[in-house]
Amino acid sequence: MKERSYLKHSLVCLVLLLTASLSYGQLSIRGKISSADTSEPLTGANILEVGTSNGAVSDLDGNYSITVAPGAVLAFSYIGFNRQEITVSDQAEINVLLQPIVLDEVVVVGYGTQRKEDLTGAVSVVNTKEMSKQASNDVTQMMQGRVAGVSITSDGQPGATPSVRVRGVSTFGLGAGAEPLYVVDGFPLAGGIRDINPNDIESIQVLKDATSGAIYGNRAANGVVIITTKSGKRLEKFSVSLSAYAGIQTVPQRITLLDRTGYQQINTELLANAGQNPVPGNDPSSPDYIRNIDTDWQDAGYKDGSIQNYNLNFSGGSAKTSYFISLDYLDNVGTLVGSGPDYKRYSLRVNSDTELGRLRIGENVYFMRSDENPLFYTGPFTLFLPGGRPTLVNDLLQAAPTIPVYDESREGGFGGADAVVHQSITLNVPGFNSLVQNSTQVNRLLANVFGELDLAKGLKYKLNLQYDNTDITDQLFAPQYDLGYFFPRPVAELQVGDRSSNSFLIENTLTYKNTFGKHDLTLLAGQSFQEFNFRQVAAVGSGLEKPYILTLSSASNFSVVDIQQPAALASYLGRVNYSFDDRYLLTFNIRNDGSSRFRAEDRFAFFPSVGVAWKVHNDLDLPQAVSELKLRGGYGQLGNQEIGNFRYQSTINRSIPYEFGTGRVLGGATTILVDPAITWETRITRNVAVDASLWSGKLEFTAEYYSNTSEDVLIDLPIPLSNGSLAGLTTNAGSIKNSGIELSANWRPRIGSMLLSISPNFYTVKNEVLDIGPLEFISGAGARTEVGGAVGRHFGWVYDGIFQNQAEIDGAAFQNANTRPGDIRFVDSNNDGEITEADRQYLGQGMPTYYFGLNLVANFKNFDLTIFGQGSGGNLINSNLYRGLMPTSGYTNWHEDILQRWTPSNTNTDVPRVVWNDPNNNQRDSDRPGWLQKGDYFRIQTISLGYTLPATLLSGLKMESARIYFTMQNVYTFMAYKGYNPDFQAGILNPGFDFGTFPRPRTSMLGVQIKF
Amino acid sequence: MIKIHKILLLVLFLAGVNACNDRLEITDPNRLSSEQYYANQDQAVAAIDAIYNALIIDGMYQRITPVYNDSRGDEMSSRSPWPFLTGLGTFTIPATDGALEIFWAGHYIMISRANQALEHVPDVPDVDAGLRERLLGQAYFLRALAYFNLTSNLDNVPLILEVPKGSESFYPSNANVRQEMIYEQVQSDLENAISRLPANYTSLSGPDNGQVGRATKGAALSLLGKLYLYQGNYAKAAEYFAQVVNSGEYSLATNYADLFTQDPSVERSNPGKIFWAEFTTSTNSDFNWGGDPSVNWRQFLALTPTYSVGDFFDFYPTRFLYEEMRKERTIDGKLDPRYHATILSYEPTEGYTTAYGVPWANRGFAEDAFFIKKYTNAADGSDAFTSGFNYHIIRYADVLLMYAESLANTGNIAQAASLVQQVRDRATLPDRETEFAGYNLQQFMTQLEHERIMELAIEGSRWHDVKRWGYLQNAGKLDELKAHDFEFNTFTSNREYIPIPQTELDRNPNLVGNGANQ
Repeated sequence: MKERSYLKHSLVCLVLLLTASLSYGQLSIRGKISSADTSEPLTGANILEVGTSNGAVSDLDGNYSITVAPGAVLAFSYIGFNRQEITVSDQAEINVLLQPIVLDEVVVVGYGTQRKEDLTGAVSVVNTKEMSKQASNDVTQMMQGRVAGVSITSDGQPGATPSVRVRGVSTFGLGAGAEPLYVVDGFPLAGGIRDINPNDIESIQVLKDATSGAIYGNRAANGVVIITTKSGKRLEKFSVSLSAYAGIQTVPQRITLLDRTGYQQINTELLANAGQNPVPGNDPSSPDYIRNIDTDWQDAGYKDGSIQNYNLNFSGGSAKTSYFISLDYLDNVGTLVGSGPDYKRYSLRVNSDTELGRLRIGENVYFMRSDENPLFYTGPFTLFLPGGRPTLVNDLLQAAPTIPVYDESREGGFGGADAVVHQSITLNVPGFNSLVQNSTQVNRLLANVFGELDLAKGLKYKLNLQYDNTDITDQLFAPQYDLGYFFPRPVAELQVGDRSSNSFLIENTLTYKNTFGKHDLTLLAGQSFQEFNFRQVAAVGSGLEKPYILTLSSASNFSVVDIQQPAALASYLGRVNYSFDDRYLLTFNIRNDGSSRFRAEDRFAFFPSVGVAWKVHNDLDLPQAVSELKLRGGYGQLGNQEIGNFRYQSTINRSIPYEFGTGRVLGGATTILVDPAITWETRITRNVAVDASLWSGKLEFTAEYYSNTSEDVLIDLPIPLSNGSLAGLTTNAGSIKNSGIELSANWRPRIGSMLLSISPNFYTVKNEVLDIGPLEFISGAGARTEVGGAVGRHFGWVYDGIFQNQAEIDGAAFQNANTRPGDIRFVDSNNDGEITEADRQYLGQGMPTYYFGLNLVANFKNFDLTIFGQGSGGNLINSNLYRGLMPTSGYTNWHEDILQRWTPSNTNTDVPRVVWNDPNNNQRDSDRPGWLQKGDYFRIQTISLGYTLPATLLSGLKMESARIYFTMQNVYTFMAYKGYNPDFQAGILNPGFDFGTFPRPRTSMLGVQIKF
Repeated sequence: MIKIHKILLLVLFLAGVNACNDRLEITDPNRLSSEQYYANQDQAVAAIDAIYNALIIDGMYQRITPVYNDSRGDEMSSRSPWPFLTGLGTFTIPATDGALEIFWAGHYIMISRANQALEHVPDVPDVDAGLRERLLGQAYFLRALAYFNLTSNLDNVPLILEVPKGSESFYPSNANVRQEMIYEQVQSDLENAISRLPANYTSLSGPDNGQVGRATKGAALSLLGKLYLYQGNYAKAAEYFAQVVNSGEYSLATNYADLFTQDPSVERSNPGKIFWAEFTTSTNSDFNWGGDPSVNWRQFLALTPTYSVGDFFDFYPTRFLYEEMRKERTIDGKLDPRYHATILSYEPTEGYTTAYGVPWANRGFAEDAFFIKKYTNAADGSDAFTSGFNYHIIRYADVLLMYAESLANTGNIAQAASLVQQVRDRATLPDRETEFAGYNLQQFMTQLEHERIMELAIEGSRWHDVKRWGYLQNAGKLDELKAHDFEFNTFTSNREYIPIPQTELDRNPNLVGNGANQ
């Protein structure tokens, strides 16, 4: 990646004349060299009498002395600082403040870079230095709360891949992707981002609109995250950097659950309320009564996890070449008892860049291998567990306390419920997670080579070739076990599969750059073609015999799947960047994109975009405090084709089995209806913004308004089931708008010798559905999407208190023949005297409406302190976890809140009675207290305290720099929510539905960063 | 120099452009294009076979259809933790319930595949003429079966008889559909089936030879008889049942218990089977609940774990059924063998002392407890998730009893009595033909009701019987049902049908609800 730097500020020199002495002949000069920025003395700075070999070096306190001839010119230099020359007159002491080199912030915009101040589009630059103070396997998790306009939700599992949304959700999510495109070193990744080692990352930019994203337009509609990895620099001396951290992870939050007696009491009461006998296990008069088991499943299911990471890199460069090598190891052990989740990653990166006259060539090769034990339901395999289980975490919490963790009498050695004694469908999670072994091994090679040739002055040709090969081996083993009622597994099963994908990219670009007087012009024309291949071959073998040998050859019965997913994209693009007198800027993009996912006549489409900017500070006289003021705006279109392959092709399923008593036959039929005329979805982006920099950059500020509309949204339209189609109809239908403001600032005040950096950001997302094709609405879990509102608003009945007596029931709309005092009264919103589906209403926002983040850094002497927090709000959470712990009827465990249930003697409550079979359906989607909880939260994500070892200590150790630090992550979350994560990952159509995510661990770790 | 560079690049560029654009034409490597299908006899056969596959999915006979039928009767009650199962029998299932959608979708999947076959099979080249007729006959029969089930449970459903062509046809209406119209269509489809289907598949020339699980003329005749019976047209019903009985194709198996076995050879040798959904003990990896079918599908009967006390134990027999089935003893003074095939209980005097292949006490069941046995793995404790019982949709004993009912209602009680006794004989019950022959119609129907329970308990008949007999509109009879099964306490008169799924109403603006949606 070519990188250019321009000097932004001219040299500033401060010379203090304190004493003057006149002398004939040689002059003896003393002084102190310090940083103009921090006033810290600069140790080891060079002082040279220009034109001679006479020189000196400053000592530990920055002091120097040198003897020179009068009138000599002294040059002061220090790495990272601007060189300063001073002509000696007759002074005896010259104190010098060297100005640190402020590189113009250069932004990678795709096929080139641009000065940040010349941008016309919406580009956020992520502060990777701050980001790296957080430990995570995944770069996107580290971005959470740091970029205005980018929301990141995740799960606490090691190796998890978060959901990333740039400026809201612009798809209905039915079959269409909403994740941004990741471009690593110019390579649009085909697979996930989580394989990329965050330690290798030099810079991250998020392209949020069409003007900036157009260059990756065919996949840029959901935003683009451009990642540039570290590389060596020309003329940089060889250096070795080592960074390491290790820490423990704990589940900081415990949900308050009932113990054995509480559980038995509530279950018995609910049965009694329906005139039924207690189950034997909960009945003190039964011989099967359980009195000596009281399992705390959270104690049994959670353990302390750990995380450690070691990174070693080497870099350097000569005048014509530079290189970088990085080795990395990450090991993250999760907090759930059993065989996972955990994640280990080994990675290696090598890159170099060489100049050969007019030719520049380079390569960047990344290899990684990960060994992971994911939670069983997150891999490609499924394991049949009856009843549509929630996530393991919910199962853990719901487990009845009357079931033991271990039970030697059951196959597998773990406890389980009995259909008669407990009647409880309880999954022994530590048992299940110990018995079932799930592993995923990823080998990934990401390699690119480029060649750049100067054809003429200002004209360059660049060829980019890239190859991404990912091989994933998955294995899931479920031995024979008996985890009780609902969960026996009489037949051992081994699933083995290989997912192999590769992607090849070729790009040809021509860039012409020239300046004509005040006109600055850059033209780009290019072509790109990317091909994707994916093949999954997986086999399931069952009937393995003990002692198990985990190979398919040991199985007695087999099933095989083989799926191929080839795809290709071709694009032709052009870009004009024009600047007049460094005052007016214009960017124009045009692209023509083709996708294999559409039929020939609908395959290609044009997408233009334009951005303009006015650098006011170069045009008008502004107050001195204003060092930079820019107004910019943009409008553009991008295409989106993020659906499955071949959706326009009608096919025959020829594997429809049946037996007529003479062996299996295979039928053939069309099982999925298609719309042959699907085409590109169009994302229209509009935004205006102000960028300002005050007091020479001490305060930087950006305010932006955006309003994006997606049209012809690609959706798997849920057509009536009477059509007999086994999937939704992939078609273009609907339109969604996202608008909002984004504010971000960076303020660097100095208080005494403490240097502060305060970086807040805030943004809003107003999501509105403009059209959903032929549908009136789309349903999600407890949510509905309808024109005029946001995607996935909560939808259900309205709570209207608890019936206290029969008279109240008789006086209210009819709910159910068995509605009794203690049940919930719902609002009869259509006044038809009956509570029906028609009484449901919108109950609130499912997705947050605002997000914010705040990063504070304080540097004081050798200490640095970072506090980072982020949050969001404006939404309500429909918590599957909490609702699952508050059932009106059931045999699973309860949240302590159930103790406030309505009983004839406890009538002043908002928790309804418990009763078997819940005839009034108190459990239904509604806004009853607890069902929709406030989603507002603020999390202190990181507190990090570092200490940089003083140079006096280091010189003996031959270290250039060394820093040790302590970091605590996920320190505390201010929230009203009673689940684990207010920022859970959710389905697009029910963004406020927390199905039950894995708790985010609290990490406490110690780290060290050493450079030699 | 520069020019040459530029020209060279331009040439390369343009060459690349063309090459790249061509590579965007990618056909699905996983499946055959629809345009290439229906080209030969094998594919014509496969088009029909695909319809049968719908019999084994959740929405049809794998689970939901039998469960919906059985649970609404007074033969069993639910103790399930799942509201979608408990709410059925209590007639409180809300229209938003997801299982309604499964039932709905299952039947329309079958209809969709039948419509595809009926549209394409007539034009497939090079198909043996006799075979083509047999294939079309099966498609007509299966479509009739689906619509008969749909209207029996949902009243006025959209009548879709063609493959949807484009988005206008995706939103069918039922606003003007009446049950009679669906009955007429079922009748027409069955008549089309009867004229095309063979009596059996045992001596044909063609790829279907020996494939006894295919629909036969007898199956179509039986269903058409049942259609008339359900409409109260006893004369017509008797006419078709007579054709089945007189065909000589069917007789009662000697052992009632052999009707409910996972042993394919015993199943195959049952002379009383007429039409069934074939389930096997396959251990393939993917369950046949639904979704896009694959070769990895099992073909297991999910009713087994649902009813089995050893598995999900979602249902249990009512005390009414338990007592009804113990009323009459065999000529040897023993419990009716049909009791032992239907209900699992501890009967040491009759030699029934085990459950799931182990001694009764080992399971921890009380000695006076009783559970469902029919279609469960209670006999041997085999894996419920490889349950291979063929599920009877129409069997000969049912035809005999329906024939008897039709005859009795057309005045021929004497012949009806002999048919009833024929069914009783297999159970070694005393010969009471003469006694029954002397009954008046009301007395005979009372006896027939008992006989139907004995023979067909937990086979999905009872609910539809009480419904067509008008018990639900008869306060006295309804009280009896309430006494049999507490779940009838919450029956309301609009619940003779299950609601049309709310989700389907939401998807289809042209669809209107039925009485149960009110």
